[in-house]
Amino acid sequence: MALFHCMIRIGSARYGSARFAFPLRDMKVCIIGAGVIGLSTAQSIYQHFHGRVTPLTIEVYADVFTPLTTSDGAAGLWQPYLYDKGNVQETKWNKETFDYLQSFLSSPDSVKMGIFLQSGYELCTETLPDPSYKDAVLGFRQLTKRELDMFPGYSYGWFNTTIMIEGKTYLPWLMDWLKQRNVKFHQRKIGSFKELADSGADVIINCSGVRSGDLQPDPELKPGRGQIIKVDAPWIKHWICTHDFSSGGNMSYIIPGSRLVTVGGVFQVGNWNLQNSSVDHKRIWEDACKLDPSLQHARIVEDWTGLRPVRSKVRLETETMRSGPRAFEVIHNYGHGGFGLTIHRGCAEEAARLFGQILEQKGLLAHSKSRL
Amino acid sequence: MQRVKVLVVGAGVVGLSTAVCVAGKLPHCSVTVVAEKFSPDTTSDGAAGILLATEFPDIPLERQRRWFKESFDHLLAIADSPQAGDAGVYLSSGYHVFKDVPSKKKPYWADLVFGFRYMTDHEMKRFPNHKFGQAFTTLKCECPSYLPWLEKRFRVAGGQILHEKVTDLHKMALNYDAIMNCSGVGSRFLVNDEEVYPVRGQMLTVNAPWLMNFIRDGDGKTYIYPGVRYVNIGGTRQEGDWRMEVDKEDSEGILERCIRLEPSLRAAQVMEEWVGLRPGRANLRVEREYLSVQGRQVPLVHNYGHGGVGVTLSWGTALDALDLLRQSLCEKPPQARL
Repeated sequence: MALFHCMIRIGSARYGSARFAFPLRDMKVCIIGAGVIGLSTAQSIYQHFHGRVTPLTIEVYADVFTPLTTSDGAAGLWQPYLYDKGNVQETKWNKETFDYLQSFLSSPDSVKMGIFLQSGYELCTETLPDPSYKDAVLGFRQLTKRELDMFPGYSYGWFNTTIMIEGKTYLPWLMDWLKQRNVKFHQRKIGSFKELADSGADVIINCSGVRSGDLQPDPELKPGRGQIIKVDAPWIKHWICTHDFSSGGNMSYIIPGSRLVTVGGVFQVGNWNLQNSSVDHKRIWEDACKLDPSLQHARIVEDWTGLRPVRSKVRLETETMRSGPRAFEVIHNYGHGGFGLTIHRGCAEEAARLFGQILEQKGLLAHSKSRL
Repeated sequence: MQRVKVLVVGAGVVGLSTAVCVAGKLPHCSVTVVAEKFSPDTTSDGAAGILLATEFPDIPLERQRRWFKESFDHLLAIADSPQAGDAGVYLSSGYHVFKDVPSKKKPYWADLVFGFRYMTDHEMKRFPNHKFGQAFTTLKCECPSYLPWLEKRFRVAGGQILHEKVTDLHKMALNYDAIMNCSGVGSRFLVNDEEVYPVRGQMLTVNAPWLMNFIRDGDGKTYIYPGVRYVNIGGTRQEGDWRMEVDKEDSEGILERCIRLEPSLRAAQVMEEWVGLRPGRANLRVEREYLSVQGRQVPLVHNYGHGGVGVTLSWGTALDALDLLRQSLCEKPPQARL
């Protein structure tokens, strides 16, 4: 089979490499996952390599699409974790994403993308060092005592203006963008990387989020269960996030969106339960009403539960795999925890860079004619 | 003891605030509000209701500060309560941008709002036509919700409502022991105050639920104030202009200027156009005089001339007006009717 394929290529000035171990019909990239990570990675790959590799086929495989992905349920507040714990790459990718989104705020597309600015309060129960993102956001400052008086129980905090990215709008915008450029979508649960490789994928990009363990066991990947309540309270115009390290990660937040207010939160690592819990609902609601008493007269619309793909750090790397005699590349791009929307563009660009490296190694980029 | 009958003329934010103050704090008074227009047809209903203020030239700054602070504290307590949604009162943050650096970079109320600071260079990048900006968090008080909410409280406190256009205070004074004049721009005719002049304001309500922060140009003519459901954009400041009809050119101008400040407004649908006449006056008038009516001296407390700061100073001036009323009732107890 391999010989047959390489005979098709003999005489083609384009592919001088002796590595005929994989089909060269075209460069087919298959992305697993259609959340914000999968879709934005498809976009970055298209932007960088469309026209430089011909033909370039990009396909997205997923069992769930917007509005049912994890990204859709997230409130969409651009906010990294407070401290990067040495993951300076992640801080860089976060900022890259912020700057990228900010560049669209004044464009005619901003509303269709679901992005806009919103200010808010970060409340702490103790004095803390400034967060890693203080220079990325706008107008970062400490809260004054008068402001803190509005939030009993919190003695310190910050105010800043950041960007909202509403998944329920951003994901459809990304899908339209991709569809207009002939990216194909397949609703299908992928059972293994091999399955895709055998059906013709040259490079696979694994953006399968919390269920990546189904494709390849990863003990570092765990679900970080979150539950939210969506509320009709349109007079609330600021987000409020609390940072209380004694709460075991279950930190209360109120994040207004363009339609409803998202109230949370819980962060239960290891809990795979996608059902809404009435115990969690009660606690979330009571804590939020303490934070903002005006919620007491607000109308509750619905509950939602999602599983953050928690990992000690984002897995963004290339892995070479084999299916029989064939070698194929898998670029992993998963484990974004509760900051997928926050970091998506930086990671997508990095994944595209890794993809570019693969193309270079295979002599497939237009400028590598010199490999003949 | 005979109840003191107080009449409040005007049912805008100043009239209702004054009425609620009196009814709430002087239980021996029976208060009636009389007005031709009630919410949603008052001038206040079109006001964005953002608490920020311009200075009156001849009123001691301490008094203006006190008005601002009392109004702010009163409204903050509502914003921080379960009543916020019903009353339409909530915190609002935003930018105040100036094409030229103002002579006074810090207004008198800078320390009365939250987190007042100058905008950073990063923040100013969005506004290439502006050289300077202030950022702060203040309150927004939406009169289409706030006025009915005040009216409810007024009725619960025993207040009465009369729908009637008042043209003759002497005539009204026949049946009341004190009158509080909160007739806004109407004072020009009601009390023949020629210092009162309309400052016409046109405003558009647009559907742009993604806007959370306000932007106001320091010249006061262009503003974007996100409201509970819709965004109020404006405006105009046409002095001496009594026209209540919508002016299409004004609407076009407003849209053009606001889109320049906030390009995403291009995608916003215009829901409504509105015109109101701010009760302009060089200085706000809160003072007391007496009407001679059939041998009685009826206290007449004025509380009008708030210009574009009616909502902003409503509670503070209502409290001052209440004080003047209290003083009058102590100094000159109401005489029995002849």
